[in-house]
Amino acid sequence: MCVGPWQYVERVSQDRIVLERSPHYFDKSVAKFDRLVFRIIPDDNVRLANLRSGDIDMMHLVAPTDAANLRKEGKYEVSSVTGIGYSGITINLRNKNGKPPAPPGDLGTPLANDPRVREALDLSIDRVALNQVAWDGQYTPGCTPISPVSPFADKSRKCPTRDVTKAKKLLADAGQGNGYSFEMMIVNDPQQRRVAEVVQGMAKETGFNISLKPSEFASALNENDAGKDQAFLIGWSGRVDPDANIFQFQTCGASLNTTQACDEGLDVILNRAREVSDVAQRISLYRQAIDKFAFARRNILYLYHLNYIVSYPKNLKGYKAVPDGLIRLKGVSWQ
Amino acid sequence: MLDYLVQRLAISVVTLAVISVIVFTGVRMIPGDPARVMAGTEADEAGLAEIRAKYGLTDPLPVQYLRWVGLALRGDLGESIRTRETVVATVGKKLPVTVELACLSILVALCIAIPVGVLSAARRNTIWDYLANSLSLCGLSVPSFWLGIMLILLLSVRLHWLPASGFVPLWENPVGNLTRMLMPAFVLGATLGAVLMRQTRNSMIDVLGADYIRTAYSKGLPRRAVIFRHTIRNGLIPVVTILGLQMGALMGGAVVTEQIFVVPGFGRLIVESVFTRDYPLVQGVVLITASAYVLINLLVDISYSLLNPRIRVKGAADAA
Repeated sequence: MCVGPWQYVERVSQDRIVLERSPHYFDKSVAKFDRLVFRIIPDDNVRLANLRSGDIDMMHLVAPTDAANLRKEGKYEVSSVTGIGYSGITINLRNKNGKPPAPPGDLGTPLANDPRVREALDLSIDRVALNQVAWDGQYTPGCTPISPVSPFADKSRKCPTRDVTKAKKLLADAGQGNGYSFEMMIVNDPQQRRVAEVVQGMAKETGFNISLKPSEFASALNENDAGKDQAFLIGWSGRVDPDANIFQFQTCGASLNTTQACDEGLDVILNRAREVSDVAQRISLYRQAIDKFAFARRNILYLYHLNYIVSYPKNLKGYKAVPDGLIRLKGVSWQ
Repeated sequence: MLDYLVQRLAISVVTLAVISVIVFTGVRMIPGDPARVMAGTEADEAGLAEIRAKYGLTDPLPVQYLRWVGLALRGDLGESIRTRETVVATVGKKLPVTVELACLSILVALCIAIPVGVLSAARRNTIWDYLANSLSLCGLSVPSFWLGIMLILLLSVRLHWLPASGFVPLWENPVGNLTRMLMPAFVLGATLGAVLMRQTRNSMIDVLGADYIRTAYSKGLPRRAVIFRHTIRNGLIPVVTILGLQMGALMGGAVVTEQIFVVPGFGRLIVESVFTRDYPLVQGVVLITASAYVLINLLVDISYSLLNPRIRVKGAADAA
């Protein structure tokens, strides 16, 4: 059991969480505020209005479209850090009867069975342009499940660039030269819809006709688990160690492997990466693993990493952004 | 009168029973597993099975329903799957907020609707009537989410007159409470006021054309006395009906307004409960809202007899 700079006082559901300075913390000088009130404000515009009116002192999860304007205004600090999670398109390969431990099955579709179709889809997407259009350039394009801020990130890795000619050829080689249609499930919110529509537009040039199926979040998870989707635009909030971003999604029979993808050779690599502690060795093992699942199998097309954007008045000093997205106020004070 | 009340009470009980069946089955038809929502995406099957067993989610639906109804009749609406707090405790925290917002909204609506509606009817086809109708049209047309955001931008961000959002209990800080409730009450009251204004105008026009009003004028009563002493009471009967229906709707929570102004009321609670498949909370809140609706409308019916003695003597149907 340990003690932090602030301790819990109360929580009012859907309204606020209140903390007060803890008398038991060993270093009282770092807790500059007597009380902290975390206010839950779901709407981006209302959150921003609260910051501008001075009703809140710090705004978490600034919408990317607002971040640029706040920087231009010059009245607020805007801190941005790439998170440890990822967002991408999860493609159902063999989930016909439900996720593990249910047995895999043949879906019988080109998207599920032919890696050339998935590669064509991957090459249809310009990740930099996607980030620019959907997120005002505020997030971080990516093509692996490991965030670039992670010590395990492969700095030499370059994401594939968009290549419509090659994508068309791959689709034709896979027997889908006249175009290929499939449905992509998305969570029903404006941000996800925006990303999906950009992907839809880019893929159309290659010959993909993607129909979007917006779904409420819990229902979408249910359908994904049950194997009722062909593709699902979804992310993962991420964990510090890359194993937690990879193992449970990519190994045979793993609990979150809703695509039912299975490659025992890959499992050997990922299990080995769990056993060693040397960072360089682990980076090398993850590089091999990512080559297999992200650039050969492609059951998940990784698109970007979400940035945690926080804004606060310029006279609030000492804030340090951390890639896990949590707000840490130790050492923060008014000047 | 007593027979009428007993009859209305019996109908109310049947209505609530039907609503309970609808909400119980309806919420279970939504895809999604509450055990999974509660346990998170990394839960294993054993953990999920334990949660389902604890909350009786694997029992046959009739058994679950009867268990819920049996407990509800004893005042036990169960426990939230997500927060583990009792439904009664959760409702106890949210209900005063919603009641306060509903009452303030109705107050705003009446302050707008009655004077404007009476003026519009009394000065029919004049500039006052046209202005009143235009105001009413604006109130009906303007979306509440737009009005809310505009008010925040003007009154909070630009002028710093009012806090942008949030809620402080009345007993903790009355001034803080009222300053935070002013804008959401106005947003809700504006739309309701527009509806009530039109109804007030129309029913006042009907009453002003009645024989007894003509008699009052012919006896030499001044206009002001005719309107305030003889017209308004009868003109308000349809308004009371609509008010009752709207009060019930407000008790269910105004989701959009609560979301914009971050008011922790019933609207947001029920939306979140549905999204998290929190069956006991959804069922409990809907049942309480339905009960409030039924009770308010019963009170509205009783108030008719106070406004119109003919209803008291003969009954509502005969007095029409």
